[in-house]
Amino acid sequence: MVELEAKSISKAYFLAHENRCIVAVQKLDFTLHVGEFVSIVGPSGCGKSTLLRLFAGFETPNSGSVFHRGDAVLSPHHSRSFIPQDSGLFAWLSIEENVMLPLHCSTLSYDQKREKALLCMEKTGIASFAKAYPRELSGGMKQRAALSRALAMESQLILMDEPFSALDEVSREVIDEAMQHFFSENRMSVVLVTHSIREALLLSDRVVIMQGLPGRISDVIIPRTPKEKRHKSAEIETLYKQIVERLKSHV
Amino acid sequence: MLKSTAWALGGFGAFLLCWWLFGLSVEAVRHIPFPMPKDVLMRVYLLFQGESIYDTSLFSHFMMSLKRWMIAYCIATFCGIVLGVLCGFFEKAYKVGLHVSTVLQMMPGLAWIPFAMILFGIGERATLFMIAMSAFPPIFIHTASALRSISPQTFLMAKMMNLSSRRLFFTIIMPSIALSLLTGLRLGLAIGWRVLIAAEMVVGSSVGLGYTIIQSRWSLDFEVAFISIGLICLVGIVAEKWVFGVLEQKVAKRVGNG
Repeated sequence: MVELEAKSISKAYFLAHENRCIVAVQKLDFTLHVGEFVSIVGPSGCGKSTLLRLFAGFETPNSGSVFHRGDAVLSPHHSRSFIPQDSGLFAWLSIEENVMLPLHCSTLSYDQKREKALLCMEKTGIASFAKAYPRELSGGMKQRAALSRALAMESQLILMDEPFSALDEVSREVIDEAMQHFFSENRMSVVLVTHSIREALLLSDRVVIMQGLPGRISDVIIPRTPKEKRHKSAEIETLYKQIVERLKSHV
Repeated sequence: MLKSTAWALGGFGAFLLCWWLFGLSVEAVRHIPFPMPKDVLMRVYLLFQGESIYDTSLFSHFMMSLKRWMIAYCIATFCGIVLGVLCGFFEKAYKVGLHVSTVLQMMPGLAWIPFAMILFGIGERATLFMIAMSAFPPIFIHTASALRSISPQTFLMAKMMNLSSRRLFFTIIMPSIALSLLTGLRLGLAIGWRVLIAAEMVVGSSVGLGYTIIQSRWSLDFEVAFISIGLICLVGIVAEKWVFGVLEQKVAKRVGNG
């Protein structure tokens, strides 16, 4: 079953100060299946984030269409959870309040909402920071909180834009592992935009390589090694070198 | 606590000393009596004992000014926030509103006198009009600009979370603009207070701190003028330090900037 489908989408921006247009994404086709984890890598400015925002409905394509489970994506919707680079938490709300936010549209009582939010925070391991404010948490913790909120939204599609770019290598590895476990357990479909090729290879079912400008998919890599064995896999090392070489040729 | 009290008393003593020395210098140069700290403090005591200023007690003058200030400030706040929110959400209204409010902001408070007199004649309503017109622009501009500066992503995130308009306004928008709005309210209050005194001097009725100051020109009762000026400063300090200072600290801490 198809979770997300983009058909020949293009997005251009007009740069007023330079009086010219740049094509961030050009006639791009993309398909994500239910429960699949796809990473998008590519040089800076190749249109990765734009593509993710188009998937989330945060931007509308100039041509072509995006479909989520058969419905056209025209604006943001709670069935698609977009986690921006800065985690998108509201600074004046505690982690618990942030996670509870999407639950307010439901018919649950306040206590039920709190209970559900706590459950979501437990799943991502930040329940003990429920009363903390985003400014009091590390980058990784904020991303976990954003994930909890996505879980509270009960979105089956998670779109993450370089969520762990500010983290050190070790913290990133720990969170990656937790994330992998978490997504496969909840059978969520994920699109991850990342600069880390290794992270993409360790977590993904498919790695999409983009090149710009104009932004388009230049290659798709499918690691064959099972995810739990990828840490010490020779295939991953080979694919890593292969992707680096390809990206170098695009820069 | 003891230390800060000692500093405050020391500061007050130094102020009285400077005042006294300045008074002596003025008397020596200009050969006219200058209201000295001792005389003014004695007069304050008498006023508290029930002595009236121009047939009205000091308390009544003070309360009348406060009342005018508060009524006009509430009108300015209501109009400033409502129109600010409206212009903050609509691009064209913002452009028009910003031009109009910039012009209004450039108008000195006393320049409203002819308009006030034409519209309301001499009296209470003219004073309120002048204060409200002067306090309105900073409140309006800060509200509208703060709304315009909220990242579009914030609204998209809110839409993604399916937030109701009410929750969006009170949980997301209000905290986003709180600090800027507070700055506008603070400026509006200060400008309103300054214009109030000026308006009472010119178009006010026969009660109010401004009236007592302007009357001292004819009665040469400068002690009363000094007491009124002292009260004006006191209100300014209370509003600035104990009301807005505390409020700003709390809001900054709450919205994550403190």
